[in-house]
Amino acid sequence: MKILAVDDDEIALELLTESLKSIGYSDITVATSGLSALEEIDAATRPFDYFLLDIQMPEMDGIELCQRIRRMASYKTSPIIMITAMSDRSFVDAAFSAGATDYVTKPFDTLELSARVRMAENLVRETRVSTNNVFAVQSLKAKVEDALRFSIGDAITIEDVPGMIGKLAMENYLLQLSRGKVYQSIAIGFAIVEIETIFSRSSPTEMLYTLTDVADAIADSLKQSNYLLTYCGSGKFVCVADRGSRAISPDLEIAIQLSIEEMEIAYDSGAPCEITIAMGEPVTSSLWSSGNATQLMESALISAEDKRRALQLEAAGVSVSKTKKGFMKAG
Amino acid sequence: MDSFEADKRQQLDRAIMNIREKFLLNIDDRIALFDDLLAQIETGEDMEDALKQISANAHKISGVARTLGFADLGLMTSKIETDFGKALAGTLSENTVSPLISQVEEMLDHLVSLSSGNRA
Repeated sequence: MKILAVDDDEIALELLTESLKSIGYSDITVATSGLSALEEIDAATRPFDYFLLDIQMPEMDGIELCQRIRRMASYKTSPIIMITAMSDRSFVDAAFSAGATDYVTKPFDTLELSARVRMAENLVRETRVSTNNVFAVQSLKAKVEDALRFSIGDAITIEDVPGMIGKLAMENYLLQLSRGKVYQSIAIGFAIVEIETIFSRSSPTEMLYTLTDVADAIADSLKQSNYLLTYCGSGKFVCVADRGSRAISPDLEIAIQLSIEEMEIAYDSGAPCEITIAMGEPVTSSLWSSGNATQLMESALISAEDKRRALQLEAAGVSVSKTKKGFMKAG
Repeated sequence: MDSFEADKRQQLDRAIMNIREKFLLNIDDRIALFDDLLAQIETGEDMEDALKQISANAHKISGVARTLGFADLGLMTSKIETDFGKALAGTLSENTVSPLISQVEEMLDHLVSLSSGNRA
């Protein structure tokens, strides 16, 4: 595994390097600023497998560096672990939003570092397998489609949508939130109605574009809020935002639907692709909730699924009782 | 812990001891830097910049101090960083800056004692 570690403090870099060596990693390149990190990336004859970036650095901080690495085609899905002191917690949201996969706190605990790095290593291996598959068959378009093929339940990565992060990153984000911060957060699930039909009629590329359009519509309707969004597979998305966000209202579903309709999404054949979005009840957590923060996400998904089923039954002419409006409690 | 793990742990402990030595060797430079920044505050010359720099340098120390075996220094610098951050987010006045300077002076005394202990 080839690692690039970036920190403006040389002592911290040495500690990080030695800690990584002690858990079996020796191919480590270090940089003491964002700019020199970018130079190392440019000069690398073999790409880095993943990155460890300090958040607080002068001139270019770790968040900007993370964004710039993510913009590079070779590193769109590479694990980026942010290094943060406990007092940097306010920056952690911004880091996940910039594309970070995970974070580790300073001072380093070698056990924690080891767990985080091993998780990143697994991610690298999975990505490498799928990338190799793509390269092996890229000579023919049909074969590329084959390589891109994914199952309806796969939580595929959707790129270039503001606030969109991977499902693993969203889970990591939720798990690092303090109980107070979880209490201040709200999760909402969204589900595409009749996703099975749309999925079966679409090529993998078409499906990816459709999901990206829906993610864009959700992001656009939330643009005045602080939020993170992720795709969880099966046409379902989850957004986590500040509890007080004005965009989180019953009108949000209508706003997203209007935005989708304006896009006039169509299949490659030209036939319109009718997308209806089902928004679940907003889910909040009690301060005394015993479950972990990812339950917020699970509850939001369940609520969106319930709403989707109700809409599908309604469309099929089956009468269903309306669900009670208001915030659900997770867990 | 098997012997391989134990070897690795010992190797890491030795490396940390070397880094600790290096930290102690350079401690006078850190003291001088904080002294200069405190002097900058006293002259009133770009006080906000001096406060930000103190906070950033305290941040650096707090990130490594505990691992190097300086738990008290870690706590002091972490508190400086937090309190400076809060002060910088509000309006700066003598009332808000004075206690911050006292905190830095206390931390400097601690650094000086570490430096003297290292020379002894």
